[in-house]
Amino acid sequence: MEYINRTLAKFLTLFLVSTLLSLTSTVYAQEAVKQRVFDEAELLSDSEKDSLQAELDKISREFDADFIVATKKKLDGVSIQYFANQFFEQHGNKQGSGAIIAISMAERDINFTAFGKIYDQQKRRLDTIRASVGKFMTAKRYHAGFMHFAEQVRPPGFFRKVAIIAGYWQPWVFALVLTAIVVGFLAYNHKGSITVGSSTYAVPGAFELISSEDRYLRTTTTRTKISSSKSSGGGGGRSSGGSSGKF
Amino acid sequence: MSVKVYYCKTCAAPIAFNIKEQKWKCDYCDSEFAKDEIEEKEASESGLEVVEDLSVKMPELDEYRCNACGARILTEGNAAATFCIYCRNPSVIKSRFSGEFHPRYVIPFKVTQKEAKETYFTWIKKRFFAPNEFKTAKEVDNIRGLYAPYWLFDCRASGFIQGEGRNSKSWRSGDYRVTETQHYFIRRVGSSAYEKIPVDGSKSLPDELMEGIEPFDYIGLKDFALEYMSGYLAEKYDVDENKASRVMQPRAQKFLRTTLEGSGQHYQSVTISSSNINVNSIKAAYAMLPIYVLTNVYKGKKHTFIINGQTGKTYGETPFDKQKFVLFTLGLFLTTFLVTATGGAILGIY
Repeated sequence: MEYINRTLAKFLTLFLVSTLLSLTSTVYAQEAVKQRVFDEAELLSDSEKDSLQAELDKISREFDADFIVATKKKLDGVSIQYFANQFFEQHGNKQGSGAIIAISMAERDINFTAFGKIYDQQKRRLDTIRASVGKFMTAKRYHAGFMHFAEQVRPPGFFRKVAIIAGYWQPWVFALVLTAIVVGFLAYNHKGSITVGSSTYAVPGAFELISSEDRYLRTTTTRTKISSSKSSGGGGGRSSGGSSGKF
Repeated sequence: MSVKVYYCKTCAAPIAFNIKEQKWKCDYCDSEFAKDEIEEKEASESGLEVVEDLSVKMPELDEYRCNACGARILTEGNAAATFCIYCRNPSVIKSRFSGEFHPRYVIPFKVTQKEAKETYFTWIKKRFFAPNEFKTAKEVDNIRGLYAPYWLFDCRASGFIQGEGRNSKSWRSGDYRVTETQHYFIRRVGSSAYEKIPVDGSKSLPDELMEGIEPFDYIGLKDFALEYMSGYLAEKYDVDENKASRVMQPRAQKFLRTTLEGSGQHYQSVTISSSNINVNSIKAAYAMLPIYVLTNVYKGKKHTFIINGQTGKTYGETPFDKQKFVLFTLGLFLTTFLVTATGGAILGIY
């Protein structure tokens, strides 16, 4: 009996200690929450900041990345892209992934920059996301705009991916061209082919070219501009890219 | 009105021209005869035929008496060779091949009825948008071999074409593509001769379709003899030489225009602004050329399918199932689009 009691006590102690440990670690994790909303331009109320911070925390944890919102009064001559990169390195991280939306009120500049794997996921949508957040900024709906950013930056699920692709012109044109080719091929030649040519019934050797005249008239010249495509080189380390605009 | 029937020399059964053997064959005793053999026989046993006085202008009768079973048969207006509908005895209505209707040439059938049916099946199967009911075996039984009346025209064509010829070259200069085009005034005068341009002499055969089964191989052209008609359907012409000539002339003009365009100095592109081509020295010969015809009626519209009975070349109109076309097109478009979109999503291209 005594033996059983002792074993039970051992188990209980172990259970208590582990519960305590896990509790403290949770508390520790909650304490280590990073600041993700930097509202220098004072566009958001305290409650708005809290809800935005909570939302950014949630997706930051979910995708193991840093999502940051920064508002500035003015940029003092720095480009918004440069500011966004610097700010992310300072308040986000130097190596991992993430994204930042930065606006500056004086210049009415807006920038969306993504890093690492978030960049890989969103690289085709940088302009789209920047522009859609920009619309909220123009309408002075700052909180809604930043919440929209938190929603947009989330990697799309399968059906949203399909919906996004459906919004591009390429698959429509591809489907149209392919359908036209296949249907054209199947519908073509519904009669047969005419094989009679100008020589079928001609008496061999009977053709006589009585006279032939070729007189030079003029020369015309046309010039068309060749559009050249630019490619931008990427730096070493993690990949990143941003899109800037006005709101 | 006299009806001509050719009889087997051995057993006296009626005989018809056999495509495989290119001879006349008796279905009953398998005897085969060359053309001169049956002619000889006919001469020696002329009693089998009622002699008709062709000098007497008789109204064209649409009725004849079958020599085998004695039934009175009504024929279609232009039928010249036919079968007794009661006893399937082949008959040739001689008056419809005489006088102005006497053909100069004939090309005997080379393609059998069975081959013609197979040809139709191969052809219709490739027509994806043809209604399914035309792909059945029942449909093909209506295909019939016919000696079609044809006018074969010999003629000369002469005239000129004039227009503009262009040569251009293109190169890259900096950020620009420079295209330089040289324009020339061109004029070609010439003449050529054509022989045996065929034009069908039947109103019921559409000209534009008949062009599709051309050319016939004139090596197989033979002097006409009534014997070839035995066992087939044949029609006499109802489009005369002059009317047919009006169909032929634009064709001859087109032939010479094309030849002139390709003659002399060559250009990358040519635009003809004016031309004048005369067709003269027109001579026509009446001929019987072998074809197979199948007429499909789909939604009140006739679609004719024709096979060259000598070379097997096919041409024709296929009924076009619009509903099938629209459904297929929409289906294919949506499928391609969905496959592209989902494929893009799976591969991460978005």
